[in-house]
Amino acid sequence: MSGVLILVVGALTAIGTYLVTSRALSRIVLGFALLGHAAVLALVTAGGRAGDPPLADRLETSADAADPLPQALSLTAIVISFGLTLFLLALAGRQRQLSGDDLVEDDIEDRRIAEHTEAEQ
Amino acid sequence: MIADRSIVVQDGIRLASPLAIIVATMLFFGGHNQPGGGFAGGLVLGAVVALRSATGLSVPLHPVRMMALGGVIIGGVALGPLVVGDVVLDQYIWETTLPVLGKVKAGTALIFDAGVVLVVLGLIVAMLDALAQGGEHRTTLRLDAEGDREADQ
Amino acid sequence: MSVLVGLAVIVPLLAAMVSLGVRRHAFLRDTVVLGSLVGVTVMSAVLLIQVEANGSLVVRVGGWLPQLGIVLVADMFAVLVLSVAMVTITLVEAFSIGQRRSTAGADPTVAAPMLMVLTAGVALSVLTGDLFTLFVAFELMLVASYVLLTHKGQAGQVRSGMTYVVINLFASTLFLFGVAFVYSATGTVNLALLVERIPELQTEVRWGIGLWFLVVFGTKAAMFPLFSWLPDSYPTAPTTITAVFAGLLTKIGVYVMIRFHTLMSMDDLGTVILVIAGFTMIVGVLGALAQDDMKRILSFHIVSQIGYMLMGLGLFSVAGVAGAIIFVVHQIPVKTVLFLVGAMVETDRRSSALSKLGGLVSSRPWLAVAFALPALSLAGLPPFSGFVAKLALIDAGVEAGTVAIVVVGLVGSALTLLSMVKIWAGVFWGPQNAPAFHAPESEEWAPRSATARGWSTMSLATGAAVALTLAIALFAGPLWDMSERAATELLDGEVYVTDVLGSER
Repeated sequence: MSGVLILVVGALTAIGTYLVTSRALSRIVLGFALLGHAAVLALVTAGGRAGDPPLADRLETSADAADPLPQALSLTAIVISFGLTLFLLALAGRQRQLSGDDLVEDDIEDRRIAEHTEAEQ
Repeated sequence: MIADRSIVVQDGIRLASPLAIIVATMLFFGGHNQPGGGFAGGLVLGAVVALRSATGLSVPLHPVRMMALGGVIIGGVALGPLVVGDVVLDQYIWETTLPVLGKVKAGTALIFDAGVVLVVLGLIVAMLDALAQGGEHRTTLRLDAEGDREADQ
Repeated sequence: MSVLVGLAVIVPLLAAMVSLGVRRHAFLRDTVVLGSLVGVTVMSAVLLIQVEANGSLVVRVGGWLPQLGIVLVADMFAVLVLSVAMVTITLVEAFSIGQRRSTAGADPTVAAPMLMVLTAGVALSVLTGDLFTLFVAFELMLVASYVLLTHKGQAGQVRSGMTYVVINLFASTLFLFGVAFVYSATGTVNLALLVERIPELQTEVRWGIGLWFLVVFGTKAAMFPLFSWLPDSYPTAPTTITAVFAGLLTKIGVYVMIRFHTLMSMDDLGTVILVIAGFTMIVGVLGALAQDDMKRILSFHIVSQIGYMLMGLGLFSVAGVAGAIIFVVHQIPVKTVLFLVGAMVETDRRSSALSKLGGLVSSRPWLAVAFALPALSLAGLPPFSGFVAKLALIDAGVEAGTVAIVVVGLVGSALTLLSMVKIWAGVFWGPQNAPAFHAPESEEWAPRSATARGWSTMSLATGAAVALTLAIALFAGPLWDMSERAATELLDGEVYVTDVLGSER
């Protein structure tokens, strides 16, 4: 069970990282969505073996309830990644509006310095 | 808008709206001891609002004020216990027996959750506004000109 | 008194929400924001006095046990940094109220509430006693900074904001993974419990956790190989916003790194951190020398100064960590005031490029003084606060016998002075080659009387910030005592554990 989850975490992280290194913001958004899922899954896996739902009113009837703390943590992490995904989407929309596409551009100053050194050579 | 032209989609969403509100209410009240709560309820409401805005139906106004109100409620609930001399974010629970509902248990967490619903819903509506502005209207031409000028410098 | 610990986090958050609600009423909004900032500053000052006299204050949020719930810990280190941070934010907000009249300022309707969210994030990340709440606090801080960086929606800001957002978001994701690792290794995220459990782990696991969080916090702090996002993004934000970022965000990264790595007794990472520190100092200052824009030079300096704080941490001795702490305390106001002066120059001359500026020493002599004092302090010349902080670090380095890092630090200082001279020569000396702002160039400019009033508010805030940097040098004695005590508590760890866990152990 846990082994499969760890493999899933690895796969999600790999795909997510690949997407994040892309230049198109729409892919970066998707990449972060996947990375967020991977991190949350890792958190849940960190809680150990699956067990009965750790609900307050059923705790008496269940001997092996799952660890509730990582679940609370992952819930919070989900909320945060939800908000950040919205923000990234808005940013991507803004970039599309400004430049016609949603690619991350080079820094102007960097490009200027690069041209400068090329001219000197 | 794609969905503007489809009467089926529009009516479907119009009919689904009250249903979703019922689900959201259930999640909201059930959240204390069962899966659900303010965030889940707010998301269900947000999903309906997103669908409604896609089909051109009416959506809640003043999203930022909604978020602000939600935030103030959350802050108030967090600070409330300090007045009585307890720690921040402490919670109180009341139990009563009502005629129809039977035994009812409610706490300050419920008010906190109401704040969460408002924040989530406000956030979704505000973001829909921001995204719609990017695609539909060219209200930001002035800003574009400013950006170009900066790039020229 | 422990009430204040919770209030320091919730008041800014509440003020953010209220000011968001009334964001279009300028007077009401500014009153709420400035009022709550002054309030939080007073609270943190009271906390500082209290903690100095009676030891740490611990709040268990919601009354939960530390094993399950969130604890807020106001120990010496926390309140020291909190007080300086809050004073600085208050001064920047006062400054930006004055700057509203000019186009260089931020959009007040969004900027003020977001600044309050940032404040809450700073307070929470300083006070929190567990790793996950730290993650939440970082997110709070960074979400606010994302919005502050890009809210004007200009092409330059969106472009560089993108780099900032992507890199910091990636670091946050790594943070979350780190929390998962720590939890699976130890079964807790509470710092006090981790102090007991992490040293018991296998060396490899301990190293893994230490290095992982070095990368996470190092990205936030802009240390050597991970700093590239900073000089790209900071200069494009409205300068008042950059002043807050420069003064606070990276320093909070360092603060957290100091707290985590000392409490968890990661002494064996010392050499790694020292090597990184040396590279950070030199690469940052060389980057600064290559630039010819005031804001970009100052941005590279942020990176370079981070190196000194890391050096103190890397020594893992009481003197070294105390040096790093007093360096953080000195850097927050100094860096901020330099950017505030930058903002005033920009308002005055509508540019921050060295080639377009000059001659300010004759037209604005006070501005020149306001730049010169913190600039000399940054370079570490006596009798300013930078000298005290650097002397403490050099002393600790010599004491520990690590001569290499001491030499690198001294070279870095000399180069810092050189680049400050570059700004001085470009901005304040030479002929005036840009029109002063009294000659209105376009109708965008507000009527002169309003601008003049704004200018005097800005001058007042900058003056107060300069006074703050001087006060740090003046009170170096008591500050050093507090830093030393904070460092002792951090390196020992036992004090922290007893404070947080109390009798439950």
